[in-house]
Amino acid sequence: MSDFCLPFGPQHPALVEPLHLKLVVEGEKVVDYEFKFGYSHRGIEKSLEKRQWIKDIFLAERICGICSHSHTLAFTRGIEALADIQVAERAEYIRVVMAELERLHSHTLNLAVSFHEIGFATVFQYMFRDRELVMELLEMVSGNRVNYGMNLPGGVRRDIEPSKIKEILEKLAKLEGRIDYYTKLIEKDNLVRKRTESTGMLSKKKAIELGATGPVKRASGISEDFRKAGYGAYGKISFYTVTEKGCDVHSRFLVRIRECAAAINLIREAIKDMPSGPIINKTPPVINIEKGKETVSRVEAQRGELIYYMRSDGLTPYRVKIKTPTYANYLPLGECLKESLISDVPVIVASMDPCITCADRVTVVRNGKETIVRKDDLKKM
Amino acid sequence: MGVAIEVLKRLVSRPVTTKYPDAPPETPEGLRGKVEWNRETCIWCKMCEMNCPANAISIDKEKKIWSIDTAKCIFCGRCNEVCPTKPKSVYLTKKIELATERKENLRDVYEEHHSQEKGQKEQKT
Repeated sequence: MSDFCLPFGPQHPALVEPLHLKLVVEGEKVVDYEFKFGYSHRGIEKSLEKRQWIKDIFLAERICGICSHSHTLAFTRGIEALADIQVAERAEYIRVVMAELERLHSHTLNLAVSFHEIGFATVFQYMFRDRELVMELLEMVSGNRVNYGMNLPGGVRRDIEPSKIKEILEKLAKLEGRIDYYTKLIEKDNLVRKRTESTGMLSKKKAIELGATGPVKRASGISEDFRKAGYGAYGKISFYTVTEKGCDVHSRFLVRIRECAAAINLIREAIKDMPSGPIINKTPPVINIEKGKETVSRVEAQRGELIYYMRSDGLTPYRVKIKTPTYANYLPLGECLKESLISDVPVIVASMDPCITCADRVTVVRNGKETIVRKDDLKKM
Repeated sequence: MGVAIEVLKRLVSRPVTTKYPDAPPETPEGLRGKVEWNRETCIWCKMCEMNCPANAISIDKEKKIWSIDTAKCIFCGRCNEVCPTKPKSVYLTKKIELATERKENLRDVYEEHHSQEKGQKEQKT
């Protein structure tokens, strides 16, 4: 038995964000792992408590650059539940369009990075080119490329006019052909299949046991999507969820690319069913919520289920606890790493789509001494 | 094989990148760029200052100074949204090239005196 420990990160060419993995290896094989978090802890949850509700929306948006709309959606839905604000019906559909556009750009980004990790840089370049179509649409609708600032309690801030709808449909038609091409590529290309099939196995049983979420869970054969619960306008639009039974990196790729195709269909359905009317029910700029009122708000972000717990303290929140999908996927990631080869580690990490800044919101301070959250702490939570 | 055909196609097609530094950037309508202020219509209600999520705007009503720190600004457009005047005295432009050599240059201070009468008149309406 060897106890050779190989550090992976926090600065590593295969990682964009700082995650520290300690891999216990036996030759080329990983036998155990240990996590170390907190490199990009910014104290956002604490700052949320010091601002008014509406200002908080803009701060919550900045927790993650990729799922910024999902964060505001969850937070705004929480405020709406706490303050009993009715949402304009057209706004619900615009929120769906934005959320699905964001899902498209997130999945294409992750797939591109995954292709880069398996050494397929050509497809990485092509996917970034095609992702730009979605980025342009997001920029056109919201005015910003990353933090869209679309949600406010009661509705959305910007309307999608008919001229914009025409452009969205045109660009989506263009993108659909590309997505079909990539689906075929992932299904059939030998290079991709040999590199990804039966690597990073996460069995159905383990996925349930360790609480995996999002595409990772759906790639292990569990059909679970919180959108099916019908929050917002999802209850009124017909759409399908994607599941794969492969349990490996390859099926995670497939789930993501098929979800892109599903997202395009969903946007079309949402645009078709979109009712006319106001986009926002005006609310005062300062919202006062009864003290002690609490709620849990859930949405399906691109990486999985995003949960906000909120408790009111009048003009500001008393506490906001955020559980991001990456956080739920850390333990399944460790499970995938076991018994895999060192050269597969970057591919497996990329296939889990980790957003480290999303998840780094916990630094435990005990007796004035800062400690770092480790694997055992994760299991306790 | 699929990729090989795609690569060959790209050999004869035009590049997808734009000539950005040489040609002006293509910006869509309604882009949230640099925030500017119109002294003619402002009624000094301080709504923009109160609602700015990043506390980038500061107003001195007595001295009639309106200033914004673009380094702090998050380009959310909330100031424009809450501004009660018509036309809006705080508005977002399409200016995106904001890099400077010094941090002080990012702070915009509008110091010129505003006519007292006009200010009062507009407050009433």
